[in-house]
Amino acid sequence: MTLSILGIGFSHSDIALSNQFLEDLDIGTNAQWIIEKIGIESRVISLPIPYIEKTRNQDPEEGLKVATTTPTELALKATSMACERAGISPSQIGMIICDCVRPNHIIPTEAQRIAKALDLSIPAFEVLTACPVFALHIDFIKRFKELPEYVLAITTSAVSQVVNYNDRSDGAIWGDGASACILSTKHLGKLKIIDSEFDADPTRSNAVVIDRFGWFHQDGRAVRDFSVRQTVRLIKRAEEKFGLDWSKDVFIGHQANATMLEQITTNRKIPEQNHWHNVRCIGNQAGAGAPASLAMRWDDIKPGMRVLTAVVGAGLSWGSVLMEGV
Amino acid sequence: MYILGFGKAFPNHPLGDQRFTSLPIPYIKETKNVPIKNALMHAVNSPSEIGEIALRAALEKAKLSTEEVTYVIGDTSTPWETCPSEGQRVAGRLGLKVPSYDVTAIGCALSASLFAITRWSDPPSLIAWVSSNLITQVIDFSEGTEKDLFGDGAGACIISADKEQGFKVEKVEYTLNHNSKFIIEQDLFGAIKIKSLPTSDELKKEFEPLLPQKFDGLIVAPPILEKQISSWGEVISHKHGELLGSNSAVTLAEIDVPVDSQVLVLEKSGGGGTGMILLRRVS
Repeated sequence: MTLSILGIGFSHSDIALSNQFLEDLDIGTNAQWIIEKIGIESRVISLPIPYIEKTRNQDPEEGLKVATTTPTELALKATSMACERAGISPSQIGMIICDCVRPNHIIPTEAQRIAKALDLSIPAFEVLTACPVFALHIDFIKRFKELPEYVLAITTSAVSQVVNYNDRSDGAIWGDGASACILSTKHLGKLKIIDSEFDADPTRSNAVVIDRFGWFHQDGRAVRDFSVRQTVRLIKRAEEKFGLDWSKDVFIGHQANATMLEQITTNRKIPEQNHWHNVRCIGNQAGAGAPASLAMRWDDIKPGMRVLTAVVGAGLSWGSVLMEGV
Repeated sequence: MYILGFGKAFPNHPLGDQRFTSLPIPYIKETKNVPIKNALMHAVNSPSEIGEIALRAALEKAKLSTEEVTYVIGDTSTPWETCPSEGQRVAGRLGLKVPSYDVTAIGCALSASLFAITRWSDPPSLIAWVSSNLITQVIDFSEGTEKDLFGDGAGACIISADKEQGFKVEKVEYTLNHNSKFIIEQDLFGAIKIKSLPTSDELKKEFEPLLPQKFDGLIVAPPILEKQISSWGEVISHKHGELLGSNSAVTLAEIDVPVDSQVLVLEKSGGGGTGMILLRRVS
């Protein structure tokens, strides 16, 4: 029984936040520092620029009110693209799983809201772990003995709404985005799943946190060290097990920051043309970053090409998915 | 698939009757818990703390040690943090380094998790499941009926495909119904609100497609819907107030079911979810 990705979609917020703007906030950062340390040239967010300029988002409840989009709206746009690419109607979806690290509503859940918006009375629930969720979702779905004909796996977030823009690092990191994936074991798709894994070390779960009524915060240095080490370990494992050839296979990492990804691809000798990413212009989209990067290169996937996603983050948790073009 | 043991836990402050709250009573009297976002600064317990106690109780009931757990699934509808997941926070408190995450479906948390696990081809050997909901932290005590209905508590259970012990999971169903008359809402910064409660007939219509054709055992129901379900057979609910995803595990931790008897667990979520778990006591 082969699990296939029939279509994958993405969507992002539409407000560009520049490094120069962050420098002008006078919070101890500048455009050059951001490029050198984080490698992000611009990011897309859902908070109006004048609002950030005026308030620095010191009250996240107010941020939620003035935001130009919601995680649900982003998810629905990504779903629409995924269905179109899979050649199915949303009414054919038989199960939905969703991850949203900062929903606007606790009840109903994001998956239940999306199902309602699509007018689907089907099993729908959250499967949540934040940044490495693409690996968790694939690993979760792959375990089923039998699945509905089409399964929708979504990850969506608007983390910019929980950023303290007085913090010189956090404001530079986050963008907003969603990805949606149509999976099936009954139909062959453009990508088939070769392998997946998901694991966690919850003893370090307080290293990356989004407070319900507050902001995002993390132990930046520790998380960065963990992310680089763990991603390299995941890649090495895949190289050894499947004999990956970086002259033709593709790597997609967690879209946390571009300099970290450079460090990883240099270590594993992965050439730039076979490293797919979107963090430089979108920012860190939490769990949506890696699958959205894949979705943005959907037309570049060729038969026989193998794509490895290795993702890490909150939990602390990590995982990988190896796919092959069909 | 077997459930080896159930566990439960509550905060220490009695709220009257058999309900508990994690908020200091003087704080509730003085502020009515308005605004909701201040509750976290005054609350005595977090969901993870109470979840950990419930999970330890489930492990004790199953006669297992923490180190034997290979997988953790969590749930909460009252998170202090929307990231990381509740499963990861509770697993971290137990010192576990195993795959951990959340499967969340509000009042259908256990049926949604079992819906998946019972359909897996190679499930992990020992899954710790925990749902912790400290709902008084999101109640506006100045108005509405919510203050009389909800409580704080956590339920947990240990799930295994290998050990034939406790309850055998005979059937699990979970789905959504967007025409459900049971509607609960909670905005991220807002209080929990009951928008609509179903009649017995409306509820029966929602459950009917999922129910087994023949059943004459005990029915475990959510406290908030016990009255509507009471005419369907012998129905039992715990008496600690509505606990959403924690309900079923809390009730099952409190009752004695004779060996070879069946139990029908009914779950509803305010977001349209409907769940059913058919269990048989095997030891």
